[in-house]
Amino acid sequence: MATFRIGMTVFLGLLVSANAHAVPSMGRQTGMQCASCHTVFPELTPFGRQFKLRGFSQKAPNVKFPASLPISALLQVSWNSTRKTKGTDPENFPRNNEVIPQAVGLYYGGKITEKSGALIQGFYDGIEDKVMMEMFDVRYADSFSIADNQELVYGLTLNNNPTVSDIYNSTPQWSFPHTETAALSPAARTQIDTTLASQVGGLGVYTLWNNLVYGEAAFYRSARRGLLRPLGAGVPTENVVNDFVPYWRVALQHEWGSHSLAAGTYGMVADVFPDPNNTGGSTDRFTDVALDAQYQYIGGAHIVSTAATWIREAQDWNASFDQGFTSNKSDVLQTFRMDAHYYYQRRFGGGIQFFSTWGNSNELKYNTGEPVTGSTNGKPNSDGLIAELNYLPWSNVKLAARYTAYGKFNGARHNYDGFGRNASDNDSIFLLAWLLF
Amino acid sequence: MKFIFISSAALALLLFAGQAPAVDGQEVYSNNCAVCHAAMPPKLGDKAAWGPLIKKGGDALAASVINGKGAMPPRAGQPELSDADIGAAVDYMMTQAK
Repeated sequence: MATFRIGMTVFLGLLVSANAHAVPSMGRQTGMQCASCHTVFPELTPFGRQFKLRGFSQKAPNVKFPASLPISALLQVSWNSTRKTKGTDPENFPRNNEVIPQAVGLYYGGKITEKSGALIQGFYDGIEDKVMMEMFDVRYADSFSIADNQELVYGLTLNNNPTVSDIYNSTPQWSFPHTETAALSPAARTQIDTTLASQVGGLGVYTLWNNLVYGEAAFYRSARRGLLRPLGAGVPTENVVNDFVPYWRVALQHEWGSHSLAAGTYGMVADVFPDPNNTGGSTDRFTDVALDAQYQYIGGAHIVSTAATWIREAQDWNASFDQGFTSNKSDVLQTFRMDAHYYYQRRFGGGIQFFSTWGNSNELKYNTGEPVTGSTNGKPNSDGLIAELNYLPWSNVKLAARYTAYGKFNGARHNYDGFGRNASDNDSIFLLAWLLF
Repeated sequence: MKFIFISSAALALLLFAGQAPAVDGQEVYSNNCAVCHAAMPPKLGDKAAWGPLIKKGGDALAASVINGKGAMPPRAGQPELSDADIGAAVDYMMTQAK
């Protein structure tokens, strides 16, 4: 009973604090409204990037328990409807036309010590019906001044996904549309494009010099077993990397008035076993090199932001070709995405994204002979548009209506699977209520 | 005597009515600005960092805080702060760097 009372006191304290600041634990910790760190969550403002760089550890001196508890909660309720599902295997369209608790989660979000903090999210995935670790980013940061009053911020990060540690919203983990849906996705995706999320764990170092040059270098290992296993807890192992995966990131940024601009490059080299259950043999090598850019205007009532990325992945099928899984010894897979957003008073707004993935034809890899998920011409090409409208009745509640329209899907516009299915049959409507507290 | 007392009271009310209590810049800084400026540039008391800013003048700096600039969120992320609060905090931080 006493435990229950203490729990209720803490919970009610968090709710009261949430009402005061309308933001979760990081807002309570700093005493600042969520607009300080986010344009509209999860997109970061220049200050939000600084807060993350500095290890999530900045805390207002007058913030006391329970507001200082670095615990937040997440609830996402969604409804997804794909245009044409009649006559197909329902397994390809899980939870279609159902209102589902898409995510129910808890964050550790905020300070650990004076110079360290974390953003860790574990949640129940209502699509997969599993409890899992989604995000893990524990960091230590410090800074010092060098010549001519130039500051150098540096830090260490232990995380579970290349690009989750990044401070911009143009790299895969933090880019629009921010939330996945239960709708069918195209078959091809580069490794750095969140394919290794929660599949690996890695240690990285990062720095921002003179508020101008951002750099990061990290090495990742498989989180399938061992010390790194908690970083992928609950997540089915689909990709096992061999040895270490080097990841790198360099960006230039500039801020003037209400404007900010960043442009950079990132990439990694991953040796991946073709079969995650057989990790004794040779591996395929994926070499990803990407460019990205981001612009933000954050005025009093108006916010405009845009982001773009281009990823080129060289795929050397050193193992898969010999085992008869691919038709080619090597391929190139590329992805381009560009999005733009507008918000009025952080309450009404929306965004639109063009996306495209293309590459070599690979009959054995993509032409699986399966209806809906296959590709009769063996090409990975998919493209389309995503449009999303947002309404935020409170700063910690986002309502979204999204439409995804495909021009091509798994290689073609018409009859892409050889069973008469068109790309536009996979168009979908997605409604989401996203609550943070 | 009674007239003098009432007149004095009325005069005092007239003199002080409409005057807001003086804002304590140090208190505003401690409760709202220290979260960043204890660790981020320009840090409190860092003369080299504040030198060029002080030349711009307190009004210009307060306007940057009110409207937001770069990593500085509008109203320092504290919408309840008045212009007077922000001015007092800016004055306090400038004083600490002189």
